[in-house]
Amino acid sequence: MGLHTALLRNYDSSRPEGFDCAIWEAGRATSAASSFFDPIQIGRFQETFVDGGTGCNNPVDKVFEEALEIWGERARERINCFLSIGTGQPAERGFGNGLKEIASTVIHISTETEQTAARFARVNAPSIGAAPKREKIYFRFNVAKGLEETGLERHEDMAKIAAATKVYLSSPQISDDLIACAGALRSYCM
Amino acid sequence: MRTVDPTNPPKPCDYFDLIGGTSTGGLIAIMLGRLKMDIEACIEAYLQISKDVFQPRKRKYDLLGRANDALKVRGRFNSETLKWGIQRIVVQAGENEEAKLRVEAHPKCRV
Repeated sequence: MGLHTALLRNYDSSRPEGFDCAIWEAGRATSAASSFFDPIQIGRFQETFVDGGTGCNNPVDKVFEEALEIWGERARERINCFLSIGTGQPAERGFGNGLKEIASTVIHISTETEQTAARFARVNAPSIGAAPKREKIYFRFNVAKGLEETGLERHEDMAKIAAATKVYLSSPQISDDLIACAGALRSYCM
Repeated sequence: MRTVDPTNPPKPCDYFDLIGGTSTGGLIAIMLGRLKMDIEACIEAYLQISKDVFQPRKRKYDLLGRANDALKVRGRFNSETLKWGIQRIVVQAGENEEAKLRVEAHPKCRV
């Protein structure tokens, strides 16, 4: 059995790999990627969705490929705003003494998602937006500090997550980016 | 920045043509894009579902469960609770609990 990343869509696609599934099945299948839940079989052929060993925890490349698939190459210049939101950056290597307690999956996943984000910013983001490019179009927000040890299961840490997020969003660079991002979205609607 | 009208908050599905995500991000993509929820409702629903779902399994005396965990043949949290949690959100959004992910060929907001 080959492992690959499957896309579950709420629209018709020219790609062959479609799944006809209920909303709850889609939610269960995507959550199986965390390895926190049992694998699940969905769709007409009962294909199995297992944990995220396929390494697509930051789907930014998949979403961009999908936009090109739907709207063609012209999507590149027609995108007004490309927004990517993370769930907290990983601890730097060798930092502190709490590392042993952190589930290795948390570190592995958050490291991989940041590498994917950095690659996308370098490789694909410059090709987005109509020339001449005046405004920023690709935005990546990901809390830099304070969530290194917070896995997605830590619902009891909501206050901590909210506090770390507020600190991050109020930093000068990020609040400028937020305003620019809101501006990009507003221009789309006018 | 303009302020948001609290009685009629803007919804991400009216601003984004395509929303994607994996795991937590996947659930949020479904809530915002497919169920067309506003941000407040989405946060509320996520807080509820994560509270319900991320209760560790009672495994102190559950030898079979512990053996299964050691062999990694099942997840650490209750998959049925997650299913019910998602179904409740779908119903709260005004749809049937077995509602399909795809109901239109070309929805305005793709997920």
